[in-house]
Amino acid sequence: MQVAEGGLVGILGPNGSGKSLLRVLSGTVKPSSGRVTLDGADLARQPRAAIARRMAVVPQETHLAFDYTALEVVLMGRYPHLAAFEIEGPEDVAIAREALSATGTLEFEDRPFETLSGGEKQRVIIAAALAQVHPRALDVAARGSQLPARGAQVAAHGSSAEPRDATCDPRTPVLLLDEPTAALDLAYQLEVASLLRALQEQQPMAIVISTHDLNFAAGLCRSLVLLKEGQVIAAGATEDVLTPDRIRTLYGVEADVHRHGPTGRLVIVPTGRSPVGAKP
Amino acid sequence: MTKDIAARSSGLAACRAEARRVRWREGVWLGAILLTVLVTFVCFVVFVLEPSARSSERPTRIVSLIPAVTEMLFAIGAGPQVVAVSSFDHFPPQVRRLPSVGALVDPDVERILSLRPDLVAIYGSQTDLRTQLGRARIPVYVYRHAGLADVPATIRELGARVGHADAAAALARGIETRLAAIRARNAGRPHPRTLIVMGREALSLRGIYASGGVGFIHDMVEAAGGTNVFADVKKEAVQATAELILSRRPDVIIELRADPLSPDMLKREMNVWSAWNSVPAVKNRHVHLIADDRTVVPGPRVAEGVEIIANRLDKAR
Amino acid sequence: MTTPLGRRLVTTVAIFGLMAVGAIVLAPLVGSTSISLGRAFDFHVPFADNTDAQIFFIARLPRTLAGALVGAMLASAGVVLQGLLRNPLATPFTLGVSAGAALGAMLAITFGWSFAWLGVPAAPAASFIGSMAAVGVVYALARARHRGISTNVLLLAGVTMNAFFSALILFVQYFANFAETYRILRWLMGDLDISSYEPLVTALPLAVVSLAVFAWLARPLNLLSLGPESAETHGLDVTRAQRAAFFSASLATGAAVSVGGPIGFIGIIIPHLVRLLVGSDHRIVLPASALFGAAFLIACDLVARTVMAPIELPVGVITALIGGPFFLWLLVRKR
Repeated sequence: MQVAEGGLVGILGPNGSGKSLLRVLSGTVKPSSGRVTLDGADLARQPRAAIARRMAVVPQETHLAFDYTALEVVLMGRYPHLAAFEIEGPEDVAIAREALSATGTLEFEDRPFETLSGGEKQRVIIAAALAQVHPRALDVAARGSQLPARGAQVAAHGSSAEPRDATCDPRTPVLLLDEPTAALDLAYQLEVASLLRALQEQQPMAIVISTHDLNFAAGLCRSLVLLKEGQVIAAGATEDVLTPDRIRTLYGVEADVHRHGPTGRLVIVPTGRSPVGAKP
Repeated sequence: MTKDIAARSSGLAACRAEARRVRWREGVWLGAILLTVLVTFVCFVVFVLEPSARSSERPTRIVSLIPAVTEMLFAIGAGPQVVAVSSFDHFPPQVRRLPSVGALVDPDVERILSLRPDLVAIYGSQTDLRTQLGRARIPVYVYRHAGLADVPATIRELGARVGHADAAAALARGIETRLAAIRARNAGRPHPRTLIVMGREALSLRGIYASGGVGFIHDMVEAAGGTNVFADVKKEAVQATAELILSRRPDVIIELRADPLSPDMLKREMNVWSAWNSVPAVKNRHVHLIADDRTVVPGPRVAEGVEIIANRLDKAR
Repeated sequence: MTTPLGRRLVTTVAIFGLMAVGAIVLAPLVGSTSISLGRAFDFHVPFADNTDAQIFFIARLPRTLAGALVGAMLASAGVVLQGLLRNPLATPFTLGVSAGAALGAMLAITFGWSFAWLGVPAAPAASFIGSMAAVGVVYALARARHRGISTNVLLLAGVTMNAFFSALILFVQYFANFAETYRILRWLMGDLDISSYEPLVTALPLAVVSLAVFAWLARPLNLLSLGPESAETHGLDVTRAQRAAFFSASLATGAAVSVGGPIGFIGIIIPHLVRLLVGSDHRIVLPASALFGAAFLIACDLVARTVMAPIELPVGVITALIGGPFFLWLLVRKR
C-alpha cells in the first residue's frame, strides 16, 4: 500500500483500522508484514528522535498528568531537536510562539493547558506538532529558494512492492492526525479544517488524517485511502474513491454522494443500513 | 394444542406443589437435627468441660503464664503443684519438662482449659483471658508487673494462695534482708551515674533504649547503689539518642541482655561504644554487658540480680 | 542561560539551595541540650574530652546530614514515581519498596542478626536487600511481553507487594519479644539518629547514581505526562525511560529507608508543594524538590527532637502531622 505525496490524505476505515494504520505509519507499532519507509529509508531502522524531527502525531485527545502551560506543551515538541541535557534556546521559544500564532492560540501561551476548551486544546496540540517538525533554524532563505515543494514521501510497502525512488525535500514535515474532530463541536471542526488547509497552503507539508467523519474528509482531503480489515480497498483522489459502492463495502451503509454547488465539495448523506448479504 | 399445554401446566403446577411440600418437610427435619446438635454441644460445654469451681485452699493444678511467678512458685515449694508454664520460662530447670501454654500476647486458651487447672496466674492486662477463665469458673491470680518492692509482696500473696504461706514469708524476708544489706553497704559511698541499656541494634549505637525513672529495672539499679541518668524521665523505657546520652555523661553503662554472647561478640559489642569516648563510662572502661536473667526477672532471685549489678557498680565507685 | 527556563532554573536552585544549606548549617546549632559552640569548636581540647564537640559532631551533625540525604532522596524519588505512574498521588512507597525494607529490617531485629555486610550493620543492610528484592519482584510482575512496562500492572503489583509484605511483617512480629517489638515499631516510625558518618558514606554513592539518573529523566518525565504513545511520537524511548525511572527511584528510596527508616509523607508533600510554587516542568521540579525535601526533613527532625525534650518524637510522626492536614487541604481546594 502506498500512502503519501505532499498533500492532504484521509484514511477512512471502520473499527479503528485508521488509528492502527496511523500507529504503524508513525512507527509506534511494527507492521506485521512489510515495512514503512520515510523518504525511502526504513522507519524501523531510524532512531526515534530522528523520526520525531520529521513526523509528528496529533492524537485524538491529550490528557496531561500534570499542569503544564500551553507554551510548555508546545515546547515539548522541540525536545527531539535538543541534545541530552540541552535546554531550549530563544529560537526554540520563537518557533513555539510562531506555531501557536499559526494556530491562533498565542494568547493562551501562559494558561494551564487543562483550562482550555476542547478546540483550543486541539489547536495547541497541532501547534506542538508544528513546532516539532519545524526545522531548527528559521530558514527564511530556504523557503524562498528554488527547491520545489514536492513534499515528503511516506510509503508503506507490502512484501511484494519495491521501494519507490523519489526525490523529495528533506525539510518537508509530516503530520499525522488521529480523528482531529472527534471531540469537537461544529465550529471547532470548521476551525481545525480551515487551519489545516491554511497550513498546507503556507508551507509544504504532508498531512495524513484518520477520521470517521466522511464529510470532513471529503471537504478537506485531496486523496483518500479506504481501509478495511487491514487491507486497502481503494486509494486515490477523493472524487474517484468516495462512491456509494465503496461506502457500502466499507461501512455497510447506503449513502448518496452529492456535489455541493457553491463549494464544489462532496457531501455524503447516509440513507440506511445495507441489507445483510447485499453485494459490495 | 392449547388444551394439551393447559393440561400439562396444571399437572406441572401440581408437581411443583408436591415438590414444595417435600422440600418443606426436609427443611423441618434438617432444622430439628441442627437444633439438637447445637443444644447437645452447649450442654456438653457447660456441664462437662467446665470443672466445678472448687475453692480449695490448696490448688493442685496451677498454670503460670508469668516467668517470675513460676520461679516464685518453685522457690516456695509449690513446684509439684505446677502443671504448665509460659513459653518464656526457663528457670528452674524442671520447667522444661512441663507443657507451655503461650504468654502475654498469645495464651493458648484451649490448652489451658484442657489441663483442667484450679488456678491460673495471668497478667493484669489479659482481660479477655480473664473473662474466658471466669466463664469456665477457673480461679485466677492476677499478676501486676510493678517495682522492686512489690516482689516480696507478690511472693507473700502467692504463698497464701497456694498454701505455702510460711515458706513464702521466709523467702520474702530473706530477699528484703539481703536488699537492705546491699543498700546499707552503699549508703555512704558514691552512687555512680548509671545508664541502663535494655536494647539496641546489634553492633551499632542506634536504636538504644534505656530504662527511665520508673519500673523494676530502675529500682534494681537504685537499690544496687547507682543513680539512673534518666531518673527524671517518668517512663519505663526511654528512646535514648546520641545527644541525650552524650549530654547526661553516665559514669557506668550497664547493658542488660536476655541471651549470653560469645566472648568474641562480647568484645565487639563493647568496642562499639568507643565512638562516644567523651562519655566517662566509655573513657574509664566502665561498660558492662550483663546477660543474666536474674537481672531481668522480678522473681525470687532478684536480690542476686541486684548483687550482680552492685558488684559492677563497685568498680566505678 | 538567558531563556526563561534557564533563568527560572537558576533562580529556583539558588533559592531552594539557600534553604537547604541554611538548614544544614543552622540545625546542628539547636538541640535538646544546650552546648557551648565555642567549646565545641575549640580544637585545642582533645576530642575525647570535649563533650560539646562530641554532641555537635557525633549526635547532631550526622543527623542533620542524614535528614538532608533522606529528605532529598525521598522527595525526588516521589517526583519521579509520580511522573512514571502519571499520578500525583503516587509516593515512593507505592511500589512496595518500603514494605520490603520493613520486612528486611524486622527480620534482622527479630532474629538478632549481627552480621555486617560491607561494613553496614545488619538492620540497614537487611532493609536495603529487602527493598531491592521487593523491587525485583514488582518489576518481574510488571513486564508485559510486548510493550515494556505497563504502568497499571506496575501499580497493582506494587500494591499487592505492600499487602503481602505487610502480612509477612505481622507474621514475623509474632516471633518477636517485647524488646524487639518496641525496636521494630520505632524503626517503622523513622529514626535519623545515625550518630556516625558511616551510613551516609555507604548511602552516598547510591544517592549520587540516583540523582544523576534523575537529572537525565527530567525531560523524559515531561514527555511521559503526555501519555506513553505521545511520548514515543516525540522521540522518547519510552521503555528505557520507564525502566530508568522505576529503578532509580527505587534505588533512591531503598537507600533512604535503609538510613532513616520509612519516613512517610515527604515523597508526596514536597512534590506537590514544589509544583504549586514552580510549575510542572520536571527540569525545575526535580532539583527544587530534592533541595526543599532536604530542608523540610531537617526542620521536621529538629521539631521532633526538641519539642518534647528530653523525650524524642519519631520524625515520621511529625511528617505525618504536617502531611495529613496538608492532604485534606489539597483535596478541599481542588474541586
